[in-house]
Amino acid sequence: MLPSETNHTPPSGPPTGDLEHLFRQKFAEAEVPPRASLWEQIDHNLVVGQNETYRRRLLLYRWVAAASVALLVSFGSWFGLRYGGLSGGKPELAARTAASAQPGRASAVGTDAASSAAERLALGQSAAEAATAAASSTMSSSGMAANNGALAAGSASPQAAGAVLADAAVAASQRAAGFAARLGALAGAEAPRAGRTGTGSGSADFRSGVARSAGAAGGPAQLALASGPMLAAASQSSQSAGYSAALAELDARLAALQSGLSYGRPALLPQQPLVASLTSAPGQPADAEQKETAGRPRRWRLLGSYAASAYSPNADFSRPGASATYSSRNAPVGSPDSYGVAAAEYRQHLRAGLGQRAALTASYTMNKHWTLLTGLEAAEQRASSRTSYGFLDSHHAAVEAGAANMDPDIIQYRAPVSHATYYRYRTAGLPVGVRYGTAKPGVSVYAKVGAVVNVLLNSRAELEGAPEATKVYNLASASSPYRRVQLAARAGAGARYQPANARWSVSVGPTAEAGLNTLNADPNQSVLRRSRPYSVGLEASVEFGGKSNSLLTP
Amino acid sequence: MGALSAALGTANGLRSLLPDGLSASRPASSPSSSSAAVRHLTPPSQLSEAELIDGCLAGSRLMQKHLYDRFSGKMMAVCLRYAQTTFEAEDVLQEGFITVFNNLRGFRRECPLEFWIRRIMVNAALRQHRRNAPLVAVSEGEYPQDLAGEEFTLSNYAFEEMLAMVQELAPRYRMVFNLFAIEGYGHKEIGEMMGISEGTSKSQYSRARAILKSKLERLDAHRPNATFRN
Repeated sequence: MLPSETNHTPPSGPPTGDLEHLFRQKFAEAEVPPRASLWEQIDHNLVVGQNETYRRRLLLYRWVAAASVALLVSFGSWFGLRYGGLSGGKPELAARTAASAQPGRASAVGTDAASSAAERLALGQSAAEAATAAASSTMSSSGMAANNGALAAGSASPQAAGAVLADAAVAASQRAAGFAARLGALAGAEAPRAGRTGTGSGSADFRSGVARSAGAAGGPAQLALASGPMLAAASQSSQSAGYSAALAELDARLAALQSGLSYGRPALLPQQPLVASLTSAPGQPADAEQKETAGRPRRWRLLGSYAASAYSPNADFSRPGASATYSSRNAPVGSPDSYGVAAAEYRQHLRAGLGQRAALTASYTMNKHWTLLTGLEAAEQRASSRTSYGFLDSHHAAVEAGAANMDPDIIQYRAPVSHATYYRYRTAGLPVGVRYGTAKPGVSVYAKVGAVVNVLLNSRAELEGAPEATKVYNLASASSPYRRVQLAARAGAGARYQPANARWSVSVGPTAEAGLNTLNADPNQSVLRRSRPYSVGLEASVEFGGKSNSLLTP
Repeated sequence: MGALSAALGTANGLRSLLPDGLSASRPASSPSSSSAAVRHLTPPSQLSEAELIDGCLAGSRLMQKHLYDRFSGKMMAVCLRYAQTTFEAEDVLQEGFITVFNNLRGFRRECPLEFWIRRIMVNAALRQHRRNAPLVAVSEGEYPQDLAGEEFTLSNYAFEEMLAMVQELAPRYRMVFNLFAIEGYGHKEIGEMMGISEGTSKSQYSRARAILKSKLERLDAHRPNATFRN
């Protein structure tokens, strides 16, 4: 019962048609101008919506920046404590000592002061306090320590905090300045709010302080362009300054909007998308950035994901003909049976360990539901077993190493106590896959399958109580018993959440991976009887980019 | 345009004529800024759809206004068909254009922009209908199978008269009639869009059609040269 498409126009006379045709013809080209003020309302709503988007985006950037700094500092602290030992545990004191010992070298002092600030941040202190510490330690070199550090640490006055931050940036140069500016921007997350609810002047001064610190950071950065080694650091510093300046500007505009000064007055609102200024470094043409953004395919998105799983290497080092089992407990070392017994014991006690995987993935949206995924990933897997023979892998090297120190009377028999063995494998991989799901905001589910090509970069096997037996193989090791290139199939499913009008989403769900070839390089079993590694775990990912709403149901 | 650009001299000279603040803020050495400047001097009616879209995506308020001016009249006519009053239609139009500008980046340019905007307006009207329409149960009564057969002389009726007839329909009848007879959706699609069954859509359409037909007949009865044939 579709409406009639035929025109029932008779050969002569005025055109006629059925009811549907009549209405369709009359309504097809009709135009009714809306009232003149409607555009102003639409324009006003667009401006309000745009500012709301920027506000949310700014909030997200702050969270991401804070999380990144926290992660970096946490990892740095852990790395320092783990590998630096106690001698490296007093960087703050070292920085202060260096500052007082070399008062003339401002740049070195600034760098050390920034390091000191970073260490303080690791100890759980606030960003503002850390930045202030950088300022105060720098000032102490010229005898102007005063009590600015204590003043700003209390955060009683945003104005004072802004001034101290600015002084910190002016005093420090190059990387130190950029670092202080960045910390200043982070500290600004709370301080401007305090100023806004208070007198308001403090907030403005704080922003000017941050802006000054940004400008000061940009100055030495440009000077440093002449020196080659510092080029990277300088550009980073300059960019950091640009971010800070843009953040301060954006926050000021939002504050003005919220206070009603610019409400409904488009002339006072940003004529240029603030995101462009937020993402472009000073001195870089905004056009180039806009072109780059416009040229980027809208169907591409970026995912960062992390997976933790139980990983089993499931390796079988047994050889054909070696029928010995773990039950043949008295096989003497060096006998033909000893290898088989040790390999069987290895498998008997093989336990899954923690497998961790971090991946950076680009996704391409093919249509409404299907998405292609590919990227790069790095993974570390651990496993453990036990041995009475010092068996670590197929080389059986630890047996000989241990046997050489044994009493000749007992060398013929296995050691009475079994020791734990620990294995760690580090890989880099190239995953490809396809995901089925929806791109609509809200909560949805997804499922994905794919494969990954992994390169075993490094493997390490440790024998409990015998550090000299530790065996490490890297990519270049010709004697590695492990396969260098491994293939695996992967599947996962879970839930996805995307806030309304957001261009990011989070996903979490179980994932499983099954090896398509064995972990050990020379399996002795037939293809169908080989045991291959596998893992089961949870994966969480964050996806950025794409469009906020579905095209078909705007 | 190249001659015009040369006559005016530098890009700075062009930019000084621009009403749009965005273009004026661009660096003088940028070639894209000069082309944008020239583009802004083009009369709005001569701007292509692609230029309008690109301008809007670049954040130009002026281009957004041009796009609005080009399509607002037609879309207002669409909204009026779905709404009961002019105020309601303007609400739908406003919501629709905000959706258009917020989602323009997702427009794939595979069809004319007008079709895409029209669909957005229809969706906006549907949302408005869901918000406003009271949950009145309409029976899925019988409907005539043979709906065609009559003929109307197109020039006998004015747009305003027919618009008034449609606007006087009950909201659900009006929605179904518009979606089926004017937009060309099938009853199954309409059922999914409105959250009703296919049979309900058919039933409501037949009733709406019957009402409109009787109104047209009444209108014809008052005219000396009525050409309605059944």
